[in-house]
Amino acid sequence: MKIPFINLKKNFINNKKIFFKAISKVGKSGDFILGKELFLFEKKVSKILKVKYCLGVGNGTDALFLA
Amino acid sequence: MKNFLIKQYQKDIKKKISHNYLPYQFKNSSQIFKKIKLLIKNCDFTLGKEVITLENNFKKLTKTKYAFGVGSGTDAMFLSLRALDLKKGDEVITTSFTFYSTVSAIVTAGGTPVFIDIGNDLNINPDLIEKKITKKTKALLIVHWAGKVCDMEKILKISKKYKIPIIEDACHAIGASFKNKSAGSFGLSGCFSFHPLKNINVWGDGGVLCTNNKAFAKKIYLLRNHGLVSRNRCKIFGYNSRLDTIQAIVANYIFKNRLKIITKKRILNSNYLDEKLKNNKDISLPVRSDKNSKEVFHLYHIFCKKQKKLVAYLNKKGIDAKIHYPIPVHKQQAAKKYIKKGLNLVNTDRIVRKIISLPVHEYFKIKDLDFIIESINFFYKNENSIH
Repeated sequence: MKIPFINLKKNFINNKKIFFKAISKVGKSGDFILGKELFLFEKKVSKILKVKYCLGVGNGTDALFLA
Repeated sequence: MKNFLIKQYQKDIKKKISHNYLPYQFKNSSQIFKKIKLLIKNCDFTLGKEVITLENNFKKLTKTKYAFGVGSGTDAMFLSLRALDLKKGDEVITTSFTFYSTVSAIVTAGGTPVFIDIGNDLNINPDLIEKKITKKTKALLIVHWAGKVCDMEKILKISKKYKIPIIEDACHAIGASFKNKSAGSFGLSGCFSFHPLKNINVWGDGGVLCTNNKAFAKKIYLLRNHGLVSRNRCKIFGYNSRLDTIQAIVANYIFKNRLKIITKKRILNSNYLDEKLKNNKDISLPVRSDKNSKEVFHLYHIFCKKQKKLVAYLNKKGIDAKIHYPIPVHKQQAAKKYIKKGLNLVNTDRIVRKIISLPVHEYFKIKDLDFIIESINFFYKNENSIH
């Protein structure tokens, strides 16, 4: 039996259509950087974390570096 | 603390003659999606196989020995300067007529920017460099603005004479050349950007750094990926600036299928506008490249009278005319503490008051360009009655 550490494949394959549809939409609006989807994501995260501000950045290292 | 970009996208995209051509370019992304599906099978999301292909593409394009996919064009410049181990007070010579990231790369890497005036080609005036060289000068960070390569003959001479490395901000200059030698291949480091409106664009941020220097390449290799030599060994502390594989897929797609057309059409459109506008007495043109050099017109600029009024008029007509940029870096709040008394960038200050950018992307037809020309001519003929 194979026990992989992670299974990224499964997560993606199950939601393939949703991902591609969302990306196509971004392509059409052209807001690839700090666009509307990010704004919505930041809002969701700040709700979950119960914090006032939430800013999307390049990666976790960048978040620490900027702070 | 609003994210101003969202409103800007929505406003720009509504214009008939827009700078932003992404909705056309990615109208059909099935080829890219196919590659992404393949990527899922390998799951090499960070610095994966497609990143290596892209790096090889850039080695070929620029005829350099090493290329590294990094987080952005800004990161390429930042990592280049970080690799020089700048100490407090070390100076980097550059221009003020540039996007802010050229200068922020210097400052965040620990250096002090020293601004030099530009010529009428919008690039650093090489004749003014030597006067500003001191013992503390550690690099010349030159900008190939709008896709026109600087006068590299003069700049290379200075670099050799004083043994100061050149870092090329070639973010605008993918595919550009000077006397048949590619932008990004002259200095210690050539920095390119794949921002969504660059001549190779990805679905977010991305960049690549090219070099011929082995020791420098080794350092960049470490700095971009936490200083790791292997999963369990960290040699120096570095950064997280790895180009992700999805972006590399998009960049490779553009590189293979679109770059030639993009470059060719931008040059054709720019030449067409040049030809039609050169007789307008209210317009003058920046100095263009000579025959042996290739200018790729990431931005198409003209100098004009009544700059702000003309931009407002063209915007009203649905033409996305812009000013890149109305306030030069040395006059920005961020630059205050780096400005020495008596700094006088006469030409920079003069040019920002008369420069405008017109869209020239590859999806335009001649009638779109004619509409731009007609609108400009109409403006100057009827200027007094336009409010």
